[in-house]
Formats: sequence, C-alpha cells, structure tokens
Amino acid sequence: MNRQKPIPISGIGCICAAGGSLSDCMDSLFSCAPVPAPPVSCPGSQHPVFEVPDRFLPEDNPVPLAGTRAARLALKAAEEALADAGLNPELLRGKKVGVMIGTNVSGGVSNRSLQQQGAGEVKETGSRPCCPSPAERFLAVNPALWIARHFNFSGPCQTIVNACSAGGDAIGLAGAWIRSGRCDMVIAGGVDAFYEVTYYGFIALMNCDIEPCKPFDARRNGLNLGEGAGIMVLESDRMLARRGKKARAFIAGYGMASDAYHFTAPDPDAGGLRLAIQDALFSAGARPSDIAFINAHGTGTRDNDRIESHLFHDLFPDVPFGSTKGYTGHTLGASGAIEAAFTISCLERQLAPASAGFSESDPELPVHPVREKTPICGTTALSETLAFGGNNSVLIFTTENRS
Amino acid sequence: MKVCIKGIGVIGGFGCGIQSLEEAVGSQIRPISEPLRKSFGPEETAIDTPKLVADTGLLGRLVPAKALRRVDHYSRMAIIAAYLSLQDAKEGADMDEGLPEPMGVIVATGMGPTAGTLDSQSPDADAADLRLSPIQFSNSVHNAAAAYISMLLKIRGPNVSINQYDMSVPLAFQTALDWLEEGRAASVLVGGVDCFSKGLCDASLCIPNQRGGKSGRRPVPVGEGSAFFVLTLSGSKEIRYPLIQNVRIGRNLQDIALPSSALFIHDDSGEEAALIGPAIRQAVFSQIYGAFPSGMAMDLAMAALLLKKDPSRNALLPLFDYGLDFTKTPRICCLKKGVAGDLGMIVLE
Repeated sequence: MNRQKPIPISGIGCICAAGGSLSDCMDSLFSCAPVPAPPVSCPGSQHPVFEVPDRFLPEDNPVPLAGTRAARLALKAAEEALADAGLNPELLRGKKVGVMIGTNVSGGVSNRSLQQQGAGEVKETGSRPCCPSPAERFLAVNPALWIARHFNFSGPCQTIVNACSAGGDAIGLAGAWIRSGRCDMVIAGGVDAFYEVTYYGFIALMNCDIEPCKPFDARRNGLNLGEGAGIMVLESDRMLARRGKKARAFIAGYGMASDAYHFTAPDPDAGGLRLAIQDALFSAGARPSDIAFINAHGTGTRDNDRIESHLFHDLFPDVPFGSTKGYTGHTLGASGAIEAAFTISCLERQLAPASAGFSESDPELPVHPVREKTPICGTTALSETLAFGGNNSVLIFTTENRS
Repeated sequence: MKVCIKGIGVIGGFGCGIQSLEEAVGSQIRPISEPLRKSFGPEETAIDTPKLVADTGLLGRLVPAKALRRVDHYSRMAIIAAYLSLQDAKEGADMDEGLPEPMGVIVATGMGPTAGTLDSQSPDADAADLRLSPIQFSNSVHNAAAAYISMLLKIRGPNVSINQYDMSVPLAFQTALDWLEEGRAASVLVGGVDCFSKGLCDASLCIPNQRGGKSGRRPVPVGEGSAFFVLTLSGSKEIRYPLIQNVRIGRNLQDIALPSSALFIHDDSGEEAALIGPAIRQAVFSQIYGAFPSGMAMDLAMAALLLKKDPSRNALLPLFDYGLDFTKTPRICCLKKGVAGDLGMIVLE
C-alpha cells in the first residue's frame, strides 16, 4: 500500500432515524436516542427497527421513475451534501462529477418494488409499465445512477455492493477517482432502505435483538436494523482552490481487507480487520497514537463486538471509541457512510457521543466504549465497518490540512 | 502504467476453461430452448427462450464438497472461473515465486444472484412470504460470489463487488488498475459473473439486437457464465497474454476516443456496430456464450486469446481473418454501450 494524498471533503449530507440532516442527527446523538419500533410493513413482527420518519423526507417524490424509498433517502442526503459544499447546478456545469454509492439491497433485491409498480400499472391500465424494459427497471433502482441522472452529472457512475461495508468502501474507493484526475468531484456514500427480505433474513440468522440494541454491553443480544443515507462531496484541491472554498475534512487513509474465514461470522482473530486498519494507517502516514477517536462498527452482536474490543485493546488501548448503532440501527450499506459523517462531525465538535445502549461492562471484553459525551483530543479519527462475507473497511479522517 | 494479464478462467454454456472457449469458436453451439413466461407486461404469453447455461460440475473436483454445500449456482460459476484463472496464471513460466501479494478480488455483476432474489420474490407476495432461509438469504447478498472466492481461495486482500448492470465490467477493470497503481493490491483477480434467471431473460429479451433486431440476424441466446483474469503490473519475464493498455468510461465518443486502428469486439446489444462504423473491423462472439450483462468479460477473454503473444499457439487465428497484424503491435478494443447510454472500453495490446 502506498502513502495516499488526502482527499478533501467539501460537503456532507445525512438522513437516518436520528435526524433528517447531519446537524439534526448530531443533535440527537448528543441529546437522546430515538426508540426503535417493530416495522409497520411486517404485521405481527416483534423485532424493532429504526425507520426514518416520513416527516424527514420531502413530500414530493423527486424520482417518479423509481419511486423507491432508497432513492428518496439518497437524494435527500445528496442535496444536503451539495448545499453544504456550496454547490449548485450552475457551478457544476461542465465539471466532471462522478457518483459512487454503496448499498446492500437497493441495487437489485429491492427491484421487487418496481415489479410491484409495473404489475400494478399493467392491472390498472392494461398498458406497459413506466420503465419500458426490465433492464431499465433494474437500473432505475441503481442508487448511483439515480443521483447522476437527477443532477445530470457527466462522470462515471458506480454502485458498490459490499454488503454492510459498501458505504465506507464507496467513500474510500472514490478517492482514487479524484487522485487519478478522472473526476473533479465525486458524490460518494451509501444508502439502504428498510426491506422485508433483509429484515426476515437477519431474524432467520438470529442476529436481531428483540429490544433496543446494546453494542458492547454485557447483555447485548443482536442488532436492530435501520435505514438511511450518508453522502459526501469529495473534491480535488484544484476545484476547491478555484472556488475559494476550504474542505470540511479530509480522507486521510483507507484500507480494506477480507477475513477469508466465514460467510456470516467475523474472523475471531480479527485478521481482516487488522489488515484493513494497518493499510488505512499506512496510507494515511499515521500511527495508532495519532487516532483520537474510533467509531466502531459495534452492531450489538456477540461476536462482532468481542473481536472489535480485543483488536482495539491490541492496537489502540487508550483511544476512546463508541458505536452509534443505538441511535440509528444498523443501516447496512449506508452504515459506513453515515458513521463516516458522524465521525467527521465529532472531530469538528471535538466531542464524541455516549455509546447508546451501553451500560453494563462485559467482563469478557478488554476495553469498553464511552458511556457519556467524551472530549476528543486530536484532529484524526477512524471509522470502521465489517460486512457479510468477511469484508472489512477502514476510513481515517482528519480535519487538519496536511497537503 | 501497463498491466498484464497473467491468467484467464472462463465458464459458460460452451464449457469450462479457455480451451473449451477456443474450441467453441470453430463449432456450432446449440442453445437449449424452453418456453418461459415473461414476468409482466401486456403480453403475458409463453415465449421461446434459447439459452446457454453452464455446468458447474467441475467445481466438485476443485473444492471439497463440504465447502460447497451452501454455495449457489451463481457463486459456483464465479469460483470456477476464479480458480481456473489462478491455475492458468500459475502455469506461466515466470510464476516460480507465486503471484505477488496482497491479491485483491473484484467481482462485476450485472444483476447479482437473481435466481435467488428476483425470481423468488413475486410482486404479489405478502411481506411474510418473503422469508428466506438463512442460506437463501446469505446467497442473495450481492457480494456472495466475492466472499466465497475469498474464503475458498484464502485471499485476504481488498475485496469489492460492483453492480452497475452492463457497465460493471469496465468499472471493475478500472478499479483493478487503480488498485495496482495505488499499491492497494499487487495482483488482482477481477472478473464478471451473471446467472441465468427469469429476470435476466426479461432483461435480455427486451434488447432488440439480442432478439434478432432490425437486421433480421440470428437471435443471441440468453446466456450465463463467468470470466476471471489475474492482473499484475507489467514487468514479468514472460507474458503470454496481451497488456491492458487502458480502460475508458464515458458518456460519448469524445470521452472514450475510439482508436482508428484496432479490432473491436462487442455484442452489439447497444448497437455498437453502428457506433464504430463499417470501415473498422469488428467481431461479435456472443453467440458462443450468450447474452448477459457482464458478458463483456467474455469478450475480453476472447480478445486476450486472440492476442496471445505466441501466434503459433493461437487456436483462434486460423479460423477467421481478424485483420490483426502481428508484425506490428496488434490492438483489440472491447466496447460496450450500456442501457443507460454510458460507454465502456477496455483496450488490449
């Protein structure tokens, strides 16, 4: 792994159960956590989820073709990110803007919603559905393409489907598009909407808690699913300088590695996560002691939290860490991007929120998350996500301009 | 930066391995034909669907059966192609020291494991009908194939799955080149996979040129399969296959700058032939492996086999006149115009 040039982040947008914008989310993280509830669309179900209240979404549907909830979540976050970066269609005209979005289910499985839409139209009108071909229907639920089409971007368009690490990987991989000069800007992040197949799937895997999740707690018993989107505007130094803007933060390093161990369980020795952290640190030119705060994956499952705690004890014994899943649920392909947004916002505030759901220390874990709001002493933080299939994704952010 | 192809592995309706693919070029592949009901649309009638499907029986001889008991057909195809590409790379004369580490894995898929996702989810189903078994659910996740490759072949490097329908393959190769350039990986196992499904049939049959099109040509059967490649940075002692000169992705011809002297390989599903123009030599091989969104990976395998560095060992060159001049540096461009209008091109020399 080579040392990488930091990538400026000029705008951030976020939507999840904790809030309809990044600032609203951060207010929730520092005041009170939303309470998960069983999903309305699954009658008789007991496992609670963190759904985004409809009032967080604009009333008009900007994506009539797709009309999926994930599309609306992604566009809401993308619009916030672009506004935060001070960008508008006039400023973006003629620029090479790429889109890289990570997702778990929205790229294909949620095609069912479009099939329903198509079938409904056929029943009602006897005519062909609005998307003329199945290939176009398939692409209509492709989150990178929604964003590119909505804003009329001309750069490359790529959807990453790395399960739960997809959002973090999209942000990390998008850096290469800026470094190579392929794009002036990249809209990068992750999105996932609540979906019944995933809900029942996680329950079948016995990974869901019937109560609000308790990451790293002695009584933890699984995750709660969530939904949302986190989107960032990555921008070249040249573009930022031309606009007379400063970056909010920088992607300092990125690492990804595989466990090569098991499809649904993490490597008990955290082999892949260790490699990903090493790569991220090396690419950032950072040492473990440079890390001031860690946003853990912290799903609330027994195995995940155990391996993270042991690895933090090995590599970052004195670094405060926490999980935000108790505020958002596990937003799957969006989680890496939403938590990246939280990590940067925490660095800006120099304050980390309490790890929601954690109250009773697990004697099997060598280190424990922060119980209350905790000052961050430093300018560099790490956010990591683990995924189905043994993927591990690690991003290092800094608010310090090192270029 | 020049990237070389160290090994190729393929599986499809033609068989397993590059030799089967080469042999298929000179023979008549007969697709299996069966009536399939279109999923929805005004004409809900049974239509005849010629298809080319892959036999993954070989995998039982490559990997212990116990390790395969949860693996579906989609992932099996990808594992076979990945395994064969590594085997092919290791047969190269300069592989005494093994492939450089870390190795990355990139899987491009047009539709993912649709047989287990779209086909199993009726639009009329109630939420409770969508309960998949733990194994079905695990296999429905789009990075399933990449995860199994990593687990079964013990590859711990970076691992990514890309799902951008028919642009997935050029994007995957662009990512592979980025990884090699950044040092994120010292070698990359990159390829494409799609499986036959009702959803794939619906998608393929709506593309005019695959149904026979305006020209009245023979319809392209719906296909499935996988093609993988082992890539490293150039600099090896012996190179059997061509170099990847570059990958270009754009919205129009200016973005990708078509070379004027090259053989173009495409499936013409996006009317690439008209885009390139009649003055430039072109070849379409999709009758051999069928139509599927990541089929550009098969086109690339064909291109690499045509440009084998030792023409005397090239089984394809005697079959047709491709206009490749081996006294100079022959070049082949694999071109794809996607359903969304994007263009992707991979240039081999």
